[in-house]
Amino acid sequence: MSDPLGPLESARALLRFASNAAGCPLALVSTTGRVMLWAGTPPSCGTCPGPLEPGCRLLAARDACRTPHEFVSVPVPAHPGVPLNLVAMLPADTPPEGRRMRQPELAGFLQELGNLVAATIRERAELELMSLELSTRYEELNLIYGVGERLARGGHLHDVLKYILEESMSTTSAQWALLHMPRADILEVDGWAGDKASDRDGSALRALAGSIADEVTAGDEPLTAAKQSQQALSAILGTPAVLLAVPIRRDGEMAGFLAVAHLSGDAAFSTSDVRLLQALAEQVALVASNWELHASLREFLMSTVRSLVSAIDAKDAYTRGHSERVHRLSLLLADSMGLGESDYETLRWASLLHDIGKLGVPESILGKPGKLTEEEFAVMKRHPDRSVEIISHIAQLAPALDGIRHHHERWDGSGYPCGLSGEEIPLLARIISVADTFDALTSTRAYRGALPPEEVREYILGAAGRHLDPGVVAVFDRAFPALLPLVESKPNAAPLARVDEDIHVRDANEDRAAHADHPVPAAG
Amino acid sequence: MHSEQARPCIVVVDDEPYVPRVLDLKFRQAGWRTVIARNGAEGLAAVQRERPDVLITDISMPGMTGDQLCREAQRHRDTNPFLIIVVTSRTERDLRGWTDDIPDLHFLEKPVSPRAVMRTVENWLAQRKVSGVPS
Repeated sequence: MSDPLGPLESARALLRFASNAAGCPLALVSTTGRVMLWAGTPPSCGTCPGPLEPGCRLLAARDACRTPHEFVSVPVPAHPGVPLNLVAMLPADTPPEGRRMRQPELAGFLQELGNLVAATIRERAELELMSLELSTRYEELNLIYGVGERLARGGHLHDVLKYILEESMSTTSAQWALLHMPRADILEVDGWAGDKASDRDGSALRALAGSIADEVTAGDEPLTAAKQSQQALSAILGTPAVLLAVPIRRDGEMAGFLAVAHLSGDAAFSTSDVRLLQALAEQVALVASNWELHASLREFLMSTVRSLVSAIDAKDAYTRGHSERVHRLSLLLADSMGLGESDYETLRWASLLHDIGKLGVPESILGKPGKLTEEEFAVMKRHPDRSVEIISHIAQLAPALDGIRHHHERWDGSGYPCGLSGEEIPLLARIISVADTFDALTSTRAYRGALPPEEVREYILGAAGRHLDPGVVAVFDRAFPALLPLVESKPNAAPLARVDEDIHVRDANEDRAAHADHPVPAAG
Repeated sequence: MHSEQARPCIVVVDDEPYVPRVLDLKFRQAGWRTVIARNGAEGLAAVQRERPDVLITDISMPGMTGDQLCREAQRHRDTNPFLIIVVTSRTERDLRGWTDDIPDLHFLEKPVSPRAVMRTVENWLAQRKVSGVPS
């Protein structure tokens, strides 16, 4: 049941009051004679089943009435769409002196009343229009806040777009949504997928996207009931569809479209649906621009970092590719651990940059074939702090500093620079430490040959709980088959060493030697 | 035509006129009886008098606040189970502990979407129909 009278309802009290004052029934009647609103004691004519009700035909009622009635009628200039008459109904047999108002007086009264009724109805109608407008504004604001909040949460582009598609459907009560931005390589579909078998490779969907894009471009207006696209969509989904598509504009140019569809034959989109979908399309344009900016900044940062890393590679031929491999090994370990998204992102940078401080270590020490003196080793031990000094100039990399500074700490507290132990050592540093050890020992160095990965695996298992975090080592052990290709594919500058010859691992100083990516002074 | 009492009823409580104005229109158009209250006390009186199907209220209002209203209104839900919707700002998310002992209470965030209000109400009515609670 819907609100039967809408704005007319606002005239009910006025009509009742006037009917009492005039002493006769009053009715608001459409030009076709339909009673819209009634006040006062209704005439009882034997032919009517009951009192007059909205919807009755007044003239028909009069004609059928046994008691003749006299009608006095004035037009009500409410609004052009719904012409109305205000009718006073007087039993014809009432003598003039029995009437509260005489004929000319009554006509004047009705005239005034008609104007009042018209103003009341008009104001109510305007108020309702404003309320509807306000309602659409609330919907728009709600959508924009929702998207803004998603963006602020820093989700991936895909997640934000998915959210926009879901909102597009729920806002317009549609069952299908499509977002297409060809240049940004975005084609996202959501909602009812129909018979997937008919479009297994998605070519029909791409063709449909092209067809909608063409029609939106040609029309340059929100697109409803575009025949060709609508038929194509119906064919893909295997059900009749009603399509609405709005353009996505960037810098004044068409950059794509956002479309929704009703899949029940008789549904249609309202003007408010169109506006809300347009608001969402504007959000898509903002999201895409934002994302591109973000991506280009990230790319810039990545290339800056890679240039830094290549500077270390240039310094020491033996460690070429080491940073990149530790980076990839660390991320593989993180995958196996199920590390959270934000830590993963931090690890990405920390692992790549962990040795950047070696830029400050003289090449004579880095590439020294023999063991380091105490003084040389002291210089070497400063490289994590030097890394931090270099990286701290890049604000975006601040979260990575801890992982970089502490990657030479040891689980038992015997590492450097701070001598942290156990879980005092940041988790990311503990992960990098395992990756670093694995890559260093499977690589050729100026002072020793590469060790076979299986031997290194045994060594790392043995170092769990002493140098290395036993938890990370357990993950390493499980992930070993996946890590192997990374260290096996690297070019080795010298043939594999035999383990029994590798004094740096097997000598009395193994605890100091094995972990470090450089030789250490001989014991004593 | 249904009598006034047979129409479903919603009580809207807000000290500002804008959201009630919109909800009043939307719900009347959908065939509902609407009662607007300007503060918590009026809202509580309306709940007692009208036996509504839905109560929707703002949180921060002078005098009786929305959460106080909900706690008071809860006492009337044994004989007349109705849905409570609380409209809250996005920043007040942490302050929702008070609802733990009030069942059938939904939060909607400002700026509130009238369509979302309607959807929430429709879902609840459908659920009530399924679970067989007399309306």
